[in-house]
Amino acid sequence: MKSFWDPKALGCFRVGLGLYLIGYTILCLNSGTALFTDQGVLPIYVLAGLNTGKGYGSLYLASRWWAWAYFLLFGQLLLSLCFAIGFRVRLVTIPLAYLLWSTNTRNPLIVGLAEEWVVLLVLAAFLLPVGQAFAVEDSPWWRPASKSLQGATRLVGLSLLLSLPAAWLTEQLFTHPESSWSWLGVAALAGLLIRGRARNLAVVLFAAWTVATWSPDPLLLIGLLVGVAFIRLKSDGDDSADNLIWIPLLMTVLLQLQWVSYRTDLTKTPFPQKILRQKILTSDFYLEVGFSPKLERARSVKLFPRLDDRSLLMRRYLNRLYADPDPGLFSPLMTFYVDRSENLKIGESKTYTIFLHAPGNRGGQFRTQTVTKNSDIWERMPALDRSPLQ
Amino acid sequence: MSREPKEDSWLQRWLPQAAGLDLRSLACARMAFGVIILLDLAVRSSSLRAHYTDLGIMPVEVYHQLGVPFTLSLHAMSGEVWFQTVLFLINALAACALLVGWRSRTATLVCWIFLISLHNRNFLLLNGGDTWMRNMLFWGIFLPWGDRWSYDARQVARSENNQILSSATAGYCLQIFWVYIMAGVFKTGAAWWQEGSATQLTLQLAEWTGELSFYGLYYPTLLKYLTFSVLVFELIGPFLFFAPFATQQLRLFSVLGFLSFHLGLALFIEIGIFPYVGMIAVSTLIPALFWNLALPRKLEKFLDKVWSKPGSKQRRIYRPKKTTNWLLAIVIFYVALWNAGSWKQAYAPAARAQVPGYLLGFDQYWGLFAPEPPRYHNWFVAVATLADGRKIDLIRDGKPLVWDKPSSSVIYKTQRWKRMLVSMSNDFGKPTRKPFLRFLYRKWLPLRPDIQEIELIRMVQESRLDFEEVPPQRALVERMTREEFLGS
Repeated sequence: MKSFWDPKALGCFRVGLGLYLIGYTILCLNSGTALFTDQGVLPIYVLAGLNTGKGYGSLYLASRWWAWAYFLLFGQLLLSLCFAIGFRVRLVTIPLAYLLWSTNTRNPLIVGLAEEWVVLLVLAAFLLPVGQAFAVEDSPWWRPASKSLQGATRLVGLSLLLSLPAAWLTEQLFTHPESSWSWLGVAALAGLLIRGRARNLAVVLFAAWTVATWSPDPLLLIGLLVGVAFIRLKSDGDDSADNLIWIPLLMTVLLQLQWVSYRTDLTKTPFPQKILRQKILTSDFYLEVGFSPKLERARSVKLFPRLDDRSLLMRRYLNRLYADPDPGLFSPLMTFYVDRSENLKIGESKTYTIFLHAPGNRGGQFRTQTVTKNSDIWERMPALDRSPLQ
Repeated sequence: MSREPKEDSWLQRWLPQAAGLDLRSLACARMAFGVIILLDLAVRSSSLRAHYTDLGIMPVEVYHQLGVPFTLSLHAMSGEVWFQTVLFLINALAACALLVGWRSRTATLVCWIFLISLHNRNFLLLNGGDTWMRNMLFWGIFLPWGDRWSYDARQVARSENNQILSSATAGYCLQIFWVYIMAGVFKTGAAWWQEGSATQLTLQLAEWTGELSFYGLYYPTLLKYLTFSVLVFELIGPFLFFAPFATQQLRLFSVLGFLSFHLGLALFIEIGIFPYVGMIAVSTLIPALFWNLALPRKLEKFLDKVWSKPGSKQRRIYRPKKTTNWLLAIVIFYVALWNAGSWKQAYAPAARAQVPGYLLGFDQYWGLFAPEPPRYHNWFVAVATLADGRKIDLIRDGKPLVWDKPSSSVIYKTQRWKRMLVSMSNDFGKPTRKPFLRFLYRKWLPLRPDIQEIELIRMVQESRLDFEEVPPQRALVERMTREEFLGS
């Protein structure tokens, strides 16, 4: 049986995914203190009380120490680098997947579908021969003892690669069966299973569907990378199954026919819009801080730039907070702001009203509370003669 | 021309005896540590839900508010019962590996990591024995204690030389030295130096009294002598480990003295694993002199039989490399500094320099019953008020409420519970009080659905040397109504 995968395509997929992970980890490091430590906007004790997920199982929960969070993030960066350059890929993938999952669970408010899918892709990389091309360490990929086991592991790997778009399309088919956009996606997915070089057309269709469905979410990048993994550069002489190419082709033709019929008023069904697309709040809303009790007279300070206006992840965190405000999250946000921006003495407190609003939207989220400047962490060190650990 | 063999200098002869360890003693210590870790885990697992999960006293949420920031705990990664169970099982497997000597050093490393993690997860349960054990295990990582009577050493040819010397052996010996010497130095109270009443006061402590404590109190004169002898031996005994002359003899004498001290502690007061860890630690210092006696020789032969006879396979005894030795020497200095700092804050490492201490579990404080045993004692009552107005004590298994002092501390399920209650009633344990009462509700409501309110009360009574009974004071620690519990 000839191989389903093209080693070079998988190599490209690995390099691309590795680069994506490096970029994402650098973003995380950029806002590391704010998003992943107890000195940030979401301390572990607040996370443990959230309904969205307590973060259980995450390595980040092993310590409240900021250095531990940075140790894990740098570990993630190092493993991503190893993954990208193809150094001990098989060894790297499992800890990398666990670290990525840990990062996701440490701060569920910044996690999108892309972050979740990436973990599955890294796990898929464990099962697929992604280290055979463009890798510094040309060691043979682990081969299961029997061919059936080898086939099974690759099938699981394939399923992991396609799990998210497959789930997405299933959802679309159940909710919008009339949408030819959904059927195009199904055709593209089906086409990816073609064995020969004809699969490349399905890759193009899949890429187009990905761009149209997910842009501008980071899922777009991941989707394109998955498409790359399926490219066939060489024919292995087993292209007889290429006659399956009629599936995507037929679907494409049907799609075009529907579009033409709608345009020529032959059908009343509109060309389906991109559906179920993740709505991303891109508005440039910001936080304002004033002193209570008279907000209207308050000194209004834009908080957002002070936090970190260049951080995409912080922006996402604040967007989520705005969209689904949890009262427990405002307090650490204020503490974080006060610790960073205000010249209060340790232990001194001030009353603030935190005011989140998006320009163009009436109303917003208000919270008033007294915030104490956090005590210096070193002052919380127990004296040696009364260590609580005794 | 043959060269005369150069005679060893005094230092060359003394150092291996003073700072070295015997491989046979080490092997016994390894097995004993394996057993005690397993026993400790068994005892802890009897309260696994209560002490390490979200259903108990220290939910993850509370842990992350309370704990020292610079510590690591794998057990804090989840508050689920299954997660803790899995970690306990892994720890138990590592302890079994340590016991049988399978990959001894790796097993020690795993046990040490898990012990630190477990200690950090619920530090309100700890006592000196826990601190001592994790420090001993740290040094054990660098010791060849799997080179005798172990799976690793089966069929391996035995060398004649049983003495081993390295920074790790020195660190191990010095750690034991620090425990005793600091325990002695901290005892500055009148009960130790003037009155000689410390032992009596200790036996009167309701939190720690065992079944035999009561009998000890019949002999006040003997207790007085015991007080002074403990004090003197703690101050002198540790130096005998490193005596410049008759080193082996004096070390053996000191070891036997401390062994009987720990035996006394184990018999008369309930302080958990401390005396047993002490016995194991100090037994490791048993010198070759002991193993050359007739009875130990028989024991050695017996253990050889158990672990199969030595074979012809050659294997080098593990010795730390030069770099490791230097790093361990730094640790020795660091531990010394830590102990000096616990005595006088001025000598303590700077705040930032304390981070590795907390991280690697070197933090230690040996003020045991110091400066003198407390002159008051505590016991606890968890009063549950039933719908018909009757009151029961949930700590005494739901029996009708009595305010009297319990005859011994066995009313608490384990020693860890006692420790937990004492810690909980202190200021820093305050966040654990509500979770404790919630735990009691969860446990007792299915059995007594008519519970309306639970109050945790600390009973405090003065310990009088003339045994006169002083009426105890009642202090409310925390209260929770049924509605409050159901609402939470």
